[in-house]
Amino acid sequence: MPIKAPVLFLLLSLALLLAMAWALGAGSIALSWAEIWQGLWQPQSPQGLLIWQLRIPRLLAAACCGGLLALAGALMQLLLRNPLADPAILGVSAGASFVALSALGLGLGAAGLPLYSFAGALAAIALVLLLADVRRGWQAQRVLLTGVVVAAGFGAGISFWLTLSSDLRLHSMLFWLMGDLSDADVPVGPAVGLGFALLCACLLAGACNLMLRGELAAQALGVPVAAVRWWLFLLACGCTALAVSLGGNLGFIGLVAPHSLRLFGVWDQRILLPACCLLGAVLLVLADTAARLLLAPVQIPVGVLTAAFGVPLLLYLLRQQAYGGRDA
Amino acid sequence: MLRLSNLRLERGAKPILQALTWQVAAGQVWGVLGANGAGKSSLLQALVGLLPVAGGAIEWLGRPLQHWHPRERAGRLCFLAQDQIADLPIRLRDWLLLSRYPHQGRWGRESAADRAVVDAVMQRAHLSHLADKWTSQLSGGERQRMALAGVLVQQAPWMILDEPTNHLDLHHQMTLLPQLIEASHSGGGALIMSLHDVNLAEQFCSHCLLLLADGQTLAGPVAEVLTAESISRIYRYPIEVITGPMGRVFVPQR
Repeated sequence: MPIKAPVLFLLLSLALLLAMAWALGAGSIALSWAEIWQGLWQPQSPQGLLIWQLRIPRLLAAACCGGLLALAGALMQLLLRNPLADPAILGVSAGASFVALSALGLGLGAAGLPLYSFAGALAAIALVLLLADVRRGWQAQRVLLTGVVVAAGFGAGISFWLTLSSDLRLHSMLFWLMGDLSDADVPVGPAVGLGFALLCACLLAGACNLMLRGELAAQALGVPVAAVRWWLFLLACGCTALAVSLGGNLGFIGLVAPHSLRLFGVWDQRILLPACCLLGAVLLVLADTAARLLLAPVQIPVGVLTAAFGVPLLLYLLRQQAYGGRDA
Repeated sequence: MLRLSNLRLERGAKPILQALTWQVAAGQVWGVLGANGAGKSSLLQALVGLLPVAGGAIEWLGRPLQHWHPRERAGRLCFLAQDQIADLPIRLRDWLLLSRYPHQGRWGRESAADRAVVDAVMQRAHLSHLADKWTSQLSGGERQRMALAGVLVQQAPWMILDEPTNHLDLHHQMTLLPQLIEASHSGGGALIMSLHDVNLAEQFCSHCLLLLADGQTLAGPVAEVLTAESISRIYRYPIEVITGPMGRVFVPQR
């Protein structure tokens, strides 16, 4: 039985609130509900400093990054008509990683990392478009394969930097590659980007529904497919670029969030796109908090955790009837 | 009225049609016959504006085809593509509901009336028991019935159908084709379909357009155009006509 949209949004919002409350309270210094409440209203108190300086920025970064990745994943899957498409598939994250690692390797310092990785992501997008020769006509297969090849090329560049680097730099590089939110600031730019992308996605969602039937059929039913495709591409890549600049190379959120919703019978993109933003935020806030706690005081990269719950969940999904599997 | 004048079509750099001048009037049922690769699908896609023409003009209901707003066009002219599949999970009922898109406003949601149309069509196409199945679970024939039901749900009287009988068993060929023709007639449109079965064309079509191997075409009423000679020429295989109590039957020689 498909879940009703208002119920779904209510549940997801509630889940996000709870996850955020947990993220505020849990950590090397555990805070009770009362202490959180106090700290929120007294930013200068010790709890207040902890909450406002450390936990809130990180929490917002996780929520924003999760929303961006989930949205990017859902849009990529629509654009490439491929359920296994994720934000990393077109080489955008690999391009961002390569440039970010180059900056680290050249000793340019970690402060500019979000900027470098964003520039790298944009460069990768341009490269894919150029090499896939989209001016001669868009072919999803060609764009997809070009993206995969470009990603592989950047992957070689990444390995090159890893082998050259000193142990000290290697550590921060590895964290970045696995996805990490520990140095995150309050994500003003990415949050604005997420809001804009979500608005555009909701406006496109009606037409996106028709894209499920294939581009030819969508066009025959009156959808301006060429324009929709460009918007999907730019939004998906833009969201990926912002997410990578926030949290590095985080995997699985872009696959797990949209597919879990589809498994609950949500097919309508007008509901799926905003809902998967919320779900992505919930998942990454939970994963990031767990990453802080599991081996405390050692922090593990949150990307390790998203993979840890993403892999079994995806394997389970693939066995479902909706994806051609035999289980009910 | 659908008018083609001196239409030239290319796919890549390869010419498909040289200079096709052709008219289809409301009420007619056209079969498009041709060998594999003769350009049936390309021609049908061009008729809906999905394939840019390399030369000539297409005029539909007194207006050049490309001047129609896509959604307005889709409200009156529908297209059945070959092998429509959804790669992401969607249930049959929701898939059909998408065909109501041309009739909804820009920010429209599907209304109770839209759902009623879908329910009625599912009943007529024997799909009601599959309504909640995922499209990935359907067999080839069931998928084709779903696609044809989509045409009926769209309620556009001008129908361009690319191989509507693909994968269909005999029962559904004989029950669904009349439904489509009847829906087109009652809406004041015309139906154009590509077929591989000459006998279906003989039974259901009023006119035929033959795409011959050398780039030439032959168009006209079925009784004039479908002959043993013309069909043998299309498929480059000797065909014989047998006239029986049910009419003419085309049989390949052995």
